[in-house]
Amino acid sequence: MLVIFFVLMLAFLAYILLPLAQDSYWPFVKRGALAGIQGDKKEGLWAISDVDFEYEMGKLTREDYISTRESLKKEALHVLERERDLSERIALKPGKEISEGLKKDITREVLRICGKKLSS
Amino acid sequence: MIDFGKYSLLFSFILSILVQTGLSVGIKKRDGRFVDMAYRGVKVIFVFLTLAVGILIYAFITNDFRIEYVASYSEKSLPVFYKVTGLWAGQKGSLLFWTWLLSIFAFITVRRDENKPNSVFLPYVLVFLNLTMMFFLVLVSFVTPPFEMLARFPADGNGLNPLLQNPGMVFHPPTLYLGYVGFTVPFAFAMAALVMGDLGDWWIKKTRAWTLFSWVFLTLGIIFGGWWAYKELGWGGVWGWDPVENSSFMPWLTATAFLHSVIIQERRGMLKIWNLSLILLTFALSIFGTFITRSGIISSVHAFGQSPVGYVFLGFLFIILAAGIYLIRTRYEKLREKNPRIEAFLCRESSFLYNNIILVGICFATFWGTIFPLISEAVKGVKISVGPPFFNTINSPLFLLLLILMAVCPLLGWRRTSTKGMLKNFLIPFSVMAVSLPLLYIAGIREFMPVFFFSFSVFVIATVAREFYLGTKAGVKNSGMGWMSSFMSLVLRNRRRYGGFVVHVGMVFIILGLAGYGYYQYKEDFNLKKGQEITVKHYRLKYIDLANFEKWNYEAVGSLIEIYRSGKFAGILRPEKRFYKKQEPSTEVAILPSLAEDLYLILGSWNPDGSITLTVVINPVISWLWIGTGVVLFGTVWAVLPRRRRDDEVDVLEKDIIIYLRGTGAG
Repeated sequence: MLVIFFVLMLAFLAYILLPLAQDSYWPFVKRGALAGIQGDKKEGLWAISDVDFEYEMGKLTREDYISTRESLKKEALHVLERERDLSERIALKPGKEISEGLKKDITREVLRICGKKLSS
Repeated sequence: MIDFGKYSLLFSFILSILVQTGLSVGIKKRDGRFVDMAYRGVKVIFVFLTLAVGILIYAFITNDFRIEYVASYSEKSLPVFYKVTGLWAGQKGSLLFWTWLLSIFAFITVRRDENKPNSVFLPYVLVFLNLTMMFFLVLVSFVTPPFEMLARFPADGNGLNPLLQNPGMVFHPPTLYLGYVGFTVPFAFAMAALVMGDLGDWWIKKTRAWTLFSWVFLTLGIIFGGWWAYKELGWGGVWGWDPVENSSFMPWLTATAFLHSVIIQERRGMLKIWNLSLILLTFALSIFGTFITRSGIISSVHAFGQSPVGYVFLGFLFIILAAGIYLIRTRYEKLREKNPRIEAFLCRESSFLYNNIILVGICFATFWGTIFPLISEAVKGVKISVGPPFFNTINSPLFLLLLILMAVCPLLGWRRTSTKGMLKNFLIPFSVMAVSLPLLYIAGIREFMPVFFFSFSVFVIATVAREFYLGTKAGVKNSGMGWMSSFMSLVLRNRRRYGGFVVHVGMVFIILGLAGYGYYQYKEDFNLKKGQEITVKHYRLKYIDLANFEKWNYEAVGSLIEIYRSGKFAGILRPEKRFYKKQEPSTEVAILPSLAEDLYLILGSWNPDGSITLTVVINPVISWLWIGTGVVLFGTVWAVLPRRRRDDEVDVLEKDIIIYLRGTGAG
């Protein structure tokens, strides 16, 4: 029985060491500089959709809603501008460096919160 | 078979060294082959630890008393159910169980992200997960080996501590361990973020489910522990501020603070250092809890857990704290970048911050009270323990503040709320609370603290109900859906938000249960002769007889008591004393539960003429503690359930977001 166990251990050890028989590779794509700004953009959109939702619920007065949304919108547009600037500086179209998947994730998140299709 | 167990542990330890080597070389040389090797190693460790756990359980079931651990915690006549739970009855098995859980979590972490090209963080996360696992593998392989053999093995084992022969103890340790061990994952992600210098909120999002999972299991573990104490320790309560109870409560407090403060980081990019510190503290407190439980340095009802291994945990604790603080210090400047300020004294962000301060304050008070015997011994040479009065005096007002924040927080807007807006939001919940005050007075709740606890509980529930109502109403108005469709759409689309509200309702029920029995418990001792009747409040109790009986591994003496509630027959209770063949006697209480109160009977002693001493306890609304736990569980599961993806959402382009920004609302 103990022999079977040791054979089993050796088999698993071989399984673990098997990747070393391949050529060297590095499978990871590092998150780009734009990813950070993308995160800021997402935060801004979350905040706006929260304010919209709370206004729709009747939890915010019109004055609170207008002033809060205005300041949030300014910040979000500023983030979008930063994103465009950075993209131009690194000679990439906006969104090129970040993956399509991440972009879709952000869009999906916005839609989820807003609960409606955004395009006019 | 026993050798299989031993070698499985040893092999797992060797593999953990291989994994660590693979990760270090892979990260340093940017060589994916070594990282892949480490991933495979993690999976194989899980396989071999599963084998070791299976072998130990098998040894318990088959009464293999050659193993010292099995002989110490089992016996032939023990039901199979309790034999299986012998795995975590003692220290050696508990640590194996802990290590096994950690290997499961490491396995899941690898499987979730190993094939994603952007999972560059995974090797770094595994470094910390594997280091923790190595520590536990050293313990179970060399310091407290569960497969240690006896030179001369007995024909039968010592049996399981009677206090552990209770369903509460079957669930309490595993759920608590799931909570403790679960926090290793967010801790590892946080440390990985620090090492990588990628300090956004990605690690919070990646570990959201882990954090909620660990939190809910820690909650369940604590409550199951309370349930066990209530049923088994025979003093009529659920929480005695015992050092070991406190040691599970402290990480719960910091984890609860973390759950709230990460929302601020996700929404506003604030509190990055605070969040990293909280998860470090939560993990460190989990290890501290194990140190308290296992060292026996402070006397506790969990005295069965004492051993020198506690000091090994203390060493590990210092290493964790030193490494965590060092990493946070090295990234301090970067963490302080882009750190927006809270704009108003009263807004959603500030209320979350106050909530955090209070939770950490309760944690600090509890920590201070727990370690006070050590401090007093160091200063005065005498161990002075602070009892429940200290903890209740300090923590009750803080809990009340927490309850008030739970009520107020959803009524505040993000960033700022005008006085007009606040008045509008507070009007209905406050009115409901005001209406509850005379009702509480009529119900006999007139003391300062209970009135506050109960009335603000009403406030919280009114606030939550209003949130659901307004959200549903907005859906009806905007999309023309019916009320039910709108409600379902609301709770399905915003699971985290509304799951969180459900958790708040559950917490209110738990607080109600604790406050009810804490402030209004009734307790009285009686000497009764056979046939004698007594009246306790609206209960009539008639002592019928004393009976002896025998079960699988004990004999018992039980007193039969007929119970009449408000004149109507409600049942027969049998509080008893059990005499185990190989263990100390134990007291088994008898409980008649209801939503309004529990009638709780404890058999004290009996005389040759058949007379007995009986303690009668009435615990108001304590059932709501258990109901609240169920509600918390439901709310957490709801909040953590994965969302269903909609294909039509995926195709919307970024320009739509810009249109949204420029085109809607007040702009």
